[in-house]
Amino acid sequence: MRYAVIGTLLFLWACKPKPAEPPPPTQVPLTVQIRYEVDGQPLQPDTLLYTNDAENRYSITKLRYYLSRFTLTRNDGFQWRNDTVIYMDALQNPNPTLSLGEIPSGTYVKLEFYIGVYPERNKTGALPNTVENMNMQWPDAMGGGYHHLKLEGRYLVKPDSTAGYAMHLGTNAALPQALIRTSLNIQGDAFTIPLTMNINEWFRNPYVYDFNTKSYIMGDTLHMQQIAENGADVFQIKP
Amino acid sequence: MRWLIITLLLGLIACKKPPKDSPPASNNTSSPTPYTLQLPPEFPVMKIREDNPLTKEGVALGRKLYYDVRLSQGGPMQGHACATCHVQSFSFANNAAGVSVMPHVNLGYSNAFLWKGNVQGTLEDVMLFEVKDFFQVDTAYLATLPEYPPMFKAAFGSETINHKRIAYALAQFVRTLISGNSKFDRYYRGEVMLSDAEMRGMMIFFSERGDCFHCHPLPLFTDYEFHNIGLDSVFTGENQGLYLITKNPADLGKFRTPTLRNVALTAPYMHDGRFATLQEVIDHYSDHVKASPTLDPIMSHNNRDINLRLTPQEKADLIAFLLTLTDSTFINNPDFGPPQ
Repeated sequence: MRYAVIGTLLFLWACKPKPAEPPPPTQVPLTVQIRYEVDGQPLQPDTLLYTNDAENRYSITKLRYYLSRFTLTRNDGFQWRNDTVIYMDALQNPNPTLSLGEIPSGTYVKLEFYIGVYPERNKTGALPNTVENMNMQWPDAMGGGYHHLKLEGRYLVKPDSTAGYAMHLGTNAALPQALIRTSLNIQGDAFTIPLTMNINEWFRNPYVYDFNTKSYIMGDTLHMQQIAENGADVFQIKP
Repeated sequence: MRWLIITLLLGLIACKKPPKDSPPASNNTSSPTPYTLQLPPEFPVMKIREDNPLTKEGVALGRKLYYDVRLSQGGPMQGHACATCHVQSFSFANNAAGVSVMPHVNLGYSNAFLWKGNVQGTLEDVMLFEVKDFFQVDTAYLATLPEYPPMFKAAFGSETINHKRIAYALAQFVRTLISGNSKFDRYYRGEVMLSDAEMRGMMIFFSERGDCFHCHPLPLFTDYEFHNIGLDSVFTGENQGLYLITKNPADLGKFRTPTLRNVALTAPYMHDGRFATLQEVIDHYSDHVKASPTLDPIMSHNNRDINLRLTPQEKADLIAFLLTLTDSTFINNPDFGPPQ
């Protein structure tokens, strides 16, 4: 009899309604919308429109790069990551929307991604065999993998004469990583993060870059690292 | 109950597997045979238009047309076929002095054609231009030649001969002209060694010393884009290049990058054939690049020296490397030669 009473009590305890738990997070389709500007001016190719902090008057003839490993950190510490590598050509497609799959809903406080190919994937032949990826290869003789960035154009050296500049980044030692502290309340049927690249930021912080001093950096690890460091804040969330 | 039995019987009939020897429902004895393109493993996947899949019959027809001078009957190029200027032994280019013909090599990857990019799109688009505007092919005349109507029927399902079908057949054949078995390719696959001079030349090619790789990247040795490489500082006439097509001043002096595969066979060089030898080409990059507002930024090296200043030894090594890009299996492949 005693066991019957204990058993009944245990049964009743087990069946006791539990306190209400918050509903599990829903999956939200996430996209990133990319825009370009130069200190507020729209991106216009092949035109000597822009001035950097070193007062170089310059144009942009090519801006190609990769975006990879988007990582979002939620306020409870949960981390969501997408290892897709996306090829970008700013002059061919100046307003792309990138689909990053689904993310659990919640408030996210940190957005990180590489402007280039993330280290484990930055090996010759690791990306799909497309003509675009072939054209971004970084020679094996110089370390292999892919160009993270090709930013090219011309700048005024005299009132009536220009020279070219080419900011090429490659190797894992010069891989720009963007970090944006934010508060994104990702909810609903879909969520879009609007990101704007301010091209002048490549030449500004912490290293002011003067094309008259250095106009071609490929293979120059020190200068590539400086430009890569400048790249940490080239993207900002900007509706 | 009766309805239940009928339904079950109908379900059994519907689920019954066809006998193994049943012909496919869409079987048509005149359907062309799919042609599988053989690409070296390191080559990109080639995009092929859905409305012109490669077939054995289509490739065979394109090959016949490519070599047939009757293609130009009655037109401004009478007596010429594609193969008149695109000669297999010269990597489907031409070594006639003063004539610079872009080689038909790995052309299926391109989306802009001819030196100035006159035609944008796919091989079908450029071949349609060649058929309608360059050769001005007389389709009625071709239809009178007894061998062609059956070949068009085999390739496209009916004997109708029109410009589009001719262009599509030519596009199919040109798409098969894949070169990827040079000495360099065999080195890359670990099958042979390069000589010391070839190795030194390769290092110049694939490093900032020569900086050739930006416009001539692996594995196709072209980026299929347009560049001003400093041949001139003032641009007139045909030397205006891509500008003549786009009317954008930023395109003055830009021309499409040719592949360097089989480059030893494709002299003369540049859009106007101004250089007769590889030595002259390398001398240009080393010592004679001319500045202009549209000179490719890649050519503006630090300190604004737009010339590479190669030593005689470096030039010789670079030429030794370029010679390793000759693919003798390509220029001797009987499948690419004149049909018997």
